[in-house]
Amino acid sequence: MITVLVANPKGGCGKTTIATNLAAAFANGGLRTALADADRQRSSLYWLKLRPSTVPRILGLEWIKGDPKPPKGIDRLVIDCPAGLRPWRFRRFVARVDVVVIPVLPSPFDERTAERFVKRILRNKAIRRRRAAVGLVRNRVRARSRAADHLEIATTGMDVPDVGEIRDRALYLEVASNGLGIFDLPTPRIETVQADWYPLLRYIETAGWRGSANE
Amino acid sequence: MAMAELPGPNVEIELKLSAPAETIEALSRSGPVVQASEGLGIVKTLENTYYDTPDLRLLTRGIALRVRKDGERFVQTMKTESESGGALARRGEWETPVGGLRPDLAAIDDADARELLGLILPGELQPVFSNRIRREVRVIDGPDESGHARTIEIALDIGETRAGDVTEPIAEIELELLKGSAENVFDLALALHRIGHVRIEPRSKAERGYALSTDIVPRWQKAEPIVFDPQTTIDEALADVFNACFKHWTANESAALDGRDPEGIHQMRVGLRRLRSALSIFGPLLPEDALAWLKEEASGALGALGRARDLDVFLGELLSPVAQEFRGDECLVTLRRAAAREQAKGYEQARSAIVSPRYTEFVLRFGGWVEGRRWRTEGTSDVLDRPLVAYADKLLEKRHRKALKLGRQFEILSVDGRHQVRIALKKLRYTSEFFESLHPSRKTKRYVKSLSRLQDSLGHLNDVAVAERLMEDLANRSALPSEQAALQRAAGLLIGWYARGVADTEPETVANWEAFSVAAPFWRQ
Repeated sequence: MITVLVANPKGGCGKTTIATNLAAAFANGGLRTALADADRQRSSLYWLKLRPSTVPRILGLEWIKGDPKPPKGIDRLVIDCPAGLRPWRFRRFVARVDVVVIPVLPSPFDERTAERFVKRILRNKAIRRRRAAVGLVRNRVRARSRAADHLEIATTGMDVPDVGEIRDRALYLEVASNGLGIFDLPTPRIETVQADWYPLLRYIETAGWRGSANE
Repeated sequence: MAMAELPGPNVEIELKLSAPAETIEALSRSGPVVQASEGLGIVKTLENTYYDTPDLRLLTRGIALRVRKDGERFVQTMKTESESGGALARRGEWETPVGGLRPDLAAIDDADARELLGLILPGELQPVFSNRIRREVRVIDGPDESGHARTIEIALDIGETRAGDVTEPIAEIELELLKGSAENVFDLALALHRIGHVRIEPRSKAERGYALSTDIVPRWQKAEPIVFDPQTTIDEALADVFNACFKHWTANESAALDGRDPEGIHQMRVGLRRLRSALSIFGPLLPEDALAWLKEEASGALGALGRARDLDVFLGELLSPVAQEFRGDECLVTLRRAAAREQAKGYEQARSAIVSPRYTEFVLRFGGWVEGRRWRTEGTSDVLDRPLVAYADKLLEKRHRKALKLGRQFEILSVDGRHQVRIALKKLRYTSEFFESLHPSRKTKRYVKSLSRLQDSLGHLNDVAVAERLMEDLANRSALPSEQAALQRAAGLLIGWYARGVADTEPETVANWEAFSVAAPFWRQ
């Protein structure tokens, strides 16, 4: 099993969009997938409730209270981790994680928060012991905007790899309101949209597999 | 594949031999193949295309995915390599018919297989290499020379692997045991080798394809631990130890031949050295002629690989720190160059030993000997069926006492005296390592640790002595007077550096001796 934690202490950076679309991508790839929601707002769980039965199933896990335990027989576990999680709770989540994905919006405020968060993550004992991989994703990037350029420079200056750019599209909201991710749609129609996710997915598959093989 | 898979349910026992195509053709018409099999072989032409992602994720996960064209049919096969080349590994094979030459992952409905594959993105699977083989299959049935029933399938494969514009010929004989004992496979292989020289090919066709199409370095492997319990008999222990050594050294053959990672030749030597240690431990229980033969072959192979290893250690561990300190000193550059030349020669020597008919003969004979437990000769069973523990404890006691005796007045011992202690400790070390699982306790761990600490500090002395001889040798061989002078100067620098290091660590060495000499022997109650 590969466990992916989507986290960033700053709200509104698109964690749920990233988490739900990753889960949909894995499920559509024929993998047994679970999506754990640790956020009181339950956005990911709500999305799962909307999900039609005609698309590949994703198991929902409510991880808002108590000790999180992943079920057996799961190939990919995506954890949607809320903003401002208490440190001791956060430590519980990272204890089993293979890949940490940090979505960052192209804005100077978000970058500063992300940078501090990256430093905190890299100091974490569990992350270091497990040699978990940490990657940044530039989220909701507008094509050829100056802010996007700036983020590109900022992210490459950090100690963790930049694993891709998800362009801003109205389509994400549209499909989310039906409980879908863009990997639930037929590929030929929206291949360029899906292609945004390929570098991130490849990164998880490579770095995450290495991590889970270390166990 | 490791050649001596422990026989057991669901474990394929398979041995692959390779040789030039003419030899394989000749062997296909030779006595052992033709006389023992009925009728003509079945001939097929197979075309296989292997697929992977551009970042070779399937290779990383130990998976080979191919689509085979067999006449008008297309079959997709996903295979996993058995990890660590060992027995009882999760080795799987999933086969599904598909519509054409493109792989179809949706056809794989097994959850374990899907998890192994992971997420494959649309259009990501691309052909990496392909092969085309003419395969002739025969089945050898009936009793062998000693009357034991056995069934072995022989596949003779002639063809080529293609990756882009590069091709490599394939000429192999695959022996698969369908019924009987694994020793039959080795015996048949040995019979064939004596007709026309072959080599054991440990790599699958997929591994060979990847080697041709990527610059992937063959993997090396560590030794698998050998575990005994108080009920283990000497006979069982012999089988386990020899099997483990055999697997360990042969599994590292490809990495040693490749030579890019020094760990390959090192691990192969560790495996062979463990065999030699086992011979020294169990020697008195083995038939004399077998013992002499094994000692000679193991030492011969070790010797042939020794030069390359010495130079790897010299360049990687001894020269580097000094070169760091005296950066820009020309004589050290000259030394590095001369040593690198010698290293290349060492590897050449190692390679030609590994590909020699003699080495193949040794491996095949040893394989049959181990599988057939041929150390069991007349009248030895009452000794061999006794528990190992009594024999082990007696030997440990003997070697422990000897080391203590040689190390008396350790602080004032001569260089030669210390050398004797080092050798005694080395024997004690591998004896304890072989037998520590008989007495699992904290006491055992402490003893082995104190022993290995002491051995490391004495071992360093030996490395320096080897380096001294090596540098002297390099200087003597040099034909250019100017180079010779530079090499001598560099040797002086290194010797001085390490002599100082040895003087610095002397108190630590003595302390390590003290610690060892009071460590409680773990085998005593």
